[in-house]
Amino acid sequence: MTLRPLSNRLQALLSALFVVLLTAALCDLPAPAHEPWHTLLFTLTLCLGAALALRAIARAATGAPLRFSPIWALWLVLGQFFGTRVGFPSVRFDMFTQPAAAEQTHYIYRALHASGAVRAFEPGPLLPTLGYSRLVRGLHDHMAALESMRAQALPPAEVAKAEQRVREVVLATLRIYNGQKPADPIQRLDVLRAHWRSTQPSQLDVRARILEVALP
Amino acid sequence: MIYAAADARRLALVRIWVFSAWIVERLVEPLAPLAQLPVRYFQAQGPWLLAPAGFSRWLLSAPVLHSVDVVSLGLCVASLAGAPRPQLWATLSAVMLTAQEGFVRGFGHANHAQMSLLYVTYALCFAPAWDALSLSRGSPANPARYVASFGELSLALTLPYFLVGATRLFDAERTLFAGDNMLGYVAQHAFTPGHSTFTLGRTLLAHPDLNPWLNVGLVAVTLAELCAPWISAKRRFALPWLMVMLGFHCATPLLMNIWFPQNMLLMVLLVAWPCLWPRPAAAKP
Repeated sequence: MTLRPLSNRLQALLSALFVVLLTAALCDLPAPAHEPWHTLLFTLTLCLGAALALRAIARAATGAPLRFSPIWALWLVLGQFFGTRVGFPSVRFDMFTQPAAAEQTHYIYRALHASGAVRAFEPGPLLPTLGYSRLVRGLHDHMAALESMRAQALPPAEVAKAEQRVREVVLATLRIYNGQKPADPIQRLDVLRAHWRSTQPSQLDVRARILEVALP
Repeated sequence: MIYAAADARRLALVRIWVFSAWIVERLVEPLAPLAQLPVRYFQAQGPWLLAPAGFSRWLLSAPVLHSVDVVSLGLCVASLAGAPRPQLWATLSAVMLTAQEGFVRGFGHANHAQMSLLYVTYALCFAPAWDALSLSRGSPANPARYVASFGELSLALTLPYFLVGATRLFDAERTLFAGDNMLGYVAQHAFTPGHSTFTLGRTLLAHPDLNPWLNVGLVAVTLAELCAPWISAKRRFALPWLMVMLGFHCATPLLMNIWFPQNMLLMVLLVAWPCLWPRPAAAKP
């Protein structure tokens, strides 16, 4: 990326503007989602500021222009705005920024095997491609959504449809497990809701069975 | 700057390492097993939002996903070896890997695993990384370009850390750094076994008196994240930063089953290794 020469003073001014706007963006001050023209102006200024700031740093540090970083820095900043679902591969970098709940709901899985043994079932390691947490958290979100629908007294047909979707995923998970460990396959899986409290941090308090899935 | 002694060979070694990491990644974690999940479970993200309806149904079959894996591996091998027109292969690899990572994230949340490796791959596409140890060598570039390219690779790794630190500092509540918050983070993950069977997180939950140390750790990590883009300026910045961040990345799998090996290896490659390079002799007047 090449940019026309600008005076050092102008570069410094725009770089400072970039830092201010970046800080404002991270503080959610301008609420860009509500005003399209505001978003456009904001984005253009960030683009220019990021490009110039990085260009100035690169020139000072290495004597050679950066070709990739200015565009990429802009892209990262935009990802912070628009979120991961739309912005991927620019994802929102917000790890450990939301306070953890002092009371948490966990879902635990108890499997009845063909041998009659009852063991804890851990879906995480079944599909290494997804990483351990993606499947676990996906199942957690499905269970939480199902429980929420049940609590809202929605039409039974709607709840049944949601339950069917959850069952489909759980059944697929069980088939994968049985395919990987055919010696003692799972015949039935119970999904239990458990609670964690920061006042009793070392234990999960198992409360209720929310779903039972049997392999046909 | 820690990259003052950067040259074509060292940059080529980074290229070889990055594409080797992708090859291992694709071999160990192929896409094909995802065909066992129901199509309705897939929620398009990023570039997949542009795909026509029904495309995911066609894609989510073992033969198609297996073919995608094979093509992706081929592109990574061509980029690693430096086949003729290497930057074209590298760009195609980056596009393919982006599509694959986006596809995987369609089956759950979009976390940050592999993202640093992906960003470093993008930066490599703009770098003269095929001037040495390559089947098709380009003409040697101005030495300053190798230094600048290492700077860009470093920013690809460190700027996301800066954004995390900045977001935590400016956007989050101050209570994040105090109270029982860290115990809550540990509890979110510690009850779910991951790749490992470490139970240190659960042990820690039984000793809440250790919580203040976790809070101190979060403050130290946040400061290190905020300093991240500037660590390549001096060795004396880089080494303490490495200690804090490598310590953080070693602690998260033990306590929370969160494991980002690519980030750790990139830190070694782009920060620790350059600190070991001999300093170039000062130019004589």
